[in-house]
Amino acid sequence: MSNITLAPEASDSLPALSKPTGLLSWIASVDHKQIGIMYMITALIFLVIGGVEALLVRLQLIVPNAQVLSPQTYNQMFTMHGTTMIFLVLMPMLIGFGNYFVPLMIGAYDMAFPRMNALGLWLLVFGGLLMYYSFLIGQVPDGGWFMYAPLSEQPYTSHRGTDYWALSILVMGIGSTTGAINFIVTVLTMRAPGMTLRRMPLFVWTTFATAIIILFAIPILNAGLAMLEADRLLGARFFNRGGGSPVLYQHVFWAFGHPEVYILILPVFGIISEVIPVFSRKPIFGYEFVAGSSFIITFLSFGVWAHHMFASGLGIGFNAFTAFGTMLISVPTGIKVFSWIATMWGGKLRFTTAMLFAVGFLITFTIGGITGVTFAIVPTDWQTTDSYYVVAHIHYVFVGGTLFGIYAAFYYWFPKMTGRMLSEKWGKIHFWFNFVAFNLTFFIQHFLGLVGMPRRVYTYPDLPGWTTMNMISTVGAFLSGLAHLIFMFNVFYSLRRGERAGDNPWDAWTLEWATTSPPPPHNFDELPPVRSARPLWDLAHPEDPDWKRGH
Amino acid sequence: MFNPNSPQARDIVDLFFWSMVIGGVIFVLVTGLILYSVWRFRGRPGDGEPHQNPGNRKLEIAWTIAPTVLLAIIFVVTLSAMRRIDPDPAGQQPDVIVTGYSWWWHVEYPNSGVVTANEIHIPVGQQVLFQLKAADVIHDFWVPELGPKKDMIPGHPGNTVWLAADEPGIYLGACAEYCGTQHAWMRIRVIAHPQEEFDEWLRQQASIPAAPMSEELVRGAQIFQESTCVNCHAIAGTNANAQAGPNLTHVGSRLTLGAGIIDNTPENLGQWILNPHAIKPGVQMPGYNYSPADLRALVAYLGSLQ
Repeated sequence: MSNITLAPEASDSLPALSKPTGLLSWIASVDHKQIGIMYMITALIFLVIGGVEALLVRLQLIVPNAQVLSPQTYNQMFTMHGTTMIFLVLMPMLIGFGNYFVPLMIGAYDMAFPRMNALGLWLLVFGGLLMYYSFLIGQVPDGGWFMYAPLSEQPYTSHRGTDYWALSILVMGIGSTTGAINFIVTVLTMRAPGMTLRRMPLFVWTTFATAIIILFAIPILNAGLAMLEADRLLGARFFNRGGGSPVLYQHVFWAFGHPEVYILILPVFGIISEVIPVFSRKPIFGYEFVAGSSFIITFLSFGVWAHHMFASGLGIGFNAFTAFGTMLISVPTGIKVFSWIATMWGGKLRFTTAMLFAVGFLITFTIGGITGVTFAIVPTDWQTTDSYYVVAHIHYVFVGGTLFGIYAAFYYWFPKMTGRMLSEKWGKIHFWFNFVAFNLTFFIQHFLGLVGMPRRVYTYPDLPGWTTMNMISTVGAFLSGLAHLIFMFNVFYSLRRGERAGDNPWDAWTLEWATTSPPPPHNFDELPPVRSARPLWDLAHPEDPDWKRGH
Repeated sequence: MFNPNSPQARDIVDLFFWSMVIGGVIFVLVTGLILYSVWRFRGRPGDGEPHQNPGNRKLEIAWTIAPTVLLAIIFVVTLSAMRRIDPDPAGQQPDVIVTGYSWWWHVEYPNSGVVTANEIHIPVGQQVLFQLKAADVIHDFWVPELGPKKDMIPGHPGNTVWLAADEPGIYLGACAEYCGTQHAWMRIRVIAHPQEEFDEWLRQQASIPAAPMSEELVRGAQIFQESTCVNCHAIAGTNANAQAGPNLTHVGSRLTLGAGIIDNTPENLGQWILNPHAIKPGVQMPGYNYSPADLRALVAYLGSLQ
């Protein structure tokens, strides 16, 4: 089989009077790699903003009755922290990686709809600006990141905060939906010859699954936001008294909200499924089960939403149904954890920073998974829900899970994106600092919840142990902030001083490593034959190729 | 939650304990395997590629089925615990009706007609059926040592929850659903008494407070009735019968003010009346500008409402 050349003229395919340069070459870009990087830069900027908000929240809680923030400001800070981290940091970061690497990993020259891809990015950027414009007019959202009605409605919230919140998320939601369509079409139609579905890298599989969730979940949220705004601005009664129901809002929000959790974790499962095999020097253990379990998660993620509502009083039947779904969804997640461990088993492990973050992820995410199951045990949930135990749990999933996975992705793929390695020395300092500080911040919060501290309180009474535990958590939060700064420093340092990467610094096996670092605008001058999920392994080991191996 | 004081609270702690035991075993297993692999299979410079093992279908099926069976068992245990801890009241009338307001609790005892606020008295050793309502936004009633929490949803007939206390004492709780500016200071005190003491408390709360006798108390009552106090507050046996704020019929007998933010002392009460926003920013009550003598009279009158 000879090498196949794909779309060599892609760089000239868009008619332009003159080639844009400088900043304009980014703003006007429809290249998936530039768009991916712009997603990541947007997410990193908002990570700093959301991080500062988190530190203000923790500072206010360092001792009881502190007066760092007024109650009003505190409520704005935790609302904006949650909203920012979910919609403007974690989601764009994962979509950014997907944008950059899905076309490369399937051997395509771009996404299926490059202009729509750019539209999605700019809707996100302007949605974020609209959200933060609320600070300039001094009417900042303060209803929490799930903005429960009727608190978020008239007359309980008469300022414009909720409107900025709802409209900007609506704008971003339209962007995410276009992105989801783009990923689905790209994966289904743009694969290189030989790249059958069963040979796709697992990051592509999980991003594909995520796109399906986005396509079905985000429109539910958008409908809910439209109903919320109809209530607020047009005097409708979807979610308030006189015909509507606050419980309806909860159903609508969580019917989006729980799938959203999987939108934020499935791509990370993909990242871990790339990083662990490469640094264990073995193929993923049980490729079909890892890929298939992502689709079981996709399906089940739409049947578990009401476990956020066990205290709402839905009745034993509904509670039992959702509890069952929630327990069931931990099975495919468990399959992945076992597969990753079995991939490491018998390997030759290389402890690069990416691998350290992947292993750190395994441990912290397992803790988040176990506490997750305790929410499915309905009576336990009746004690722990809406307490600091939940706060601990979501941060184990979103920081110890999603963010650690994102860091693994940065250390793994930064060389491909920039042509330079991230400093491993600073990377290891970053990892250990982050791992310890993260656990210091959040582990203790489980206990705060169990002794009765509700979430979203701007202060707390001086009860035995509460002050000490809160102080430990705050110290941990500031150390975590420092750890993230070490990462930012590493990025800036390595962009200038980093070691040259070459095409394939990790001896990895998927197609993105078969081109230059960074890749040319059209991605590949030529593609190796694709006869298994690891084409570059096959190329390097003609005596022992994957496609000859039975399973 | 660590000091359960009722059968249902203990039940939940037991469930939580066993889920932690199972979770702990899984955590130790997973982390153990990870750390063992990290140590045992660490690569050294110059190593060749290891054996390329793409999987083992039997093993994969095993680690799919084993957790499913384990979770099915946990699910059955969960179902029976749900029925035990939160039984259907089956039409039984509630012993206490609590209504969440921003940011305090209105408390009614429908059998005796007693109305109070923020501090809930119950007899020990009895299952007490609470009906939970909301007047404005969603609140959530949570006293961890006595049982589960439940939401209070405006416009809905009201969730019910069974709570109990085995021993006399004061049990702290709080609103657990974010409800706006002062969500943090929407605290609950449940005071559990032996039965006779509780009956006595109920009798005393059901009585109409004695008419003010001294000149100062008469002056205080007069200020109360002539000010806008009566637009929001009620005192049984007087013309004040509004429901927008806490019922003050026996306010002198309460331990705290402002839903738990300050102790109920004459100085604190005076400061609260002059400027509640300095103590609890965002609270609905406005401040009042009384002369020191009038304030003293008003505080003395309210304190006399035992």
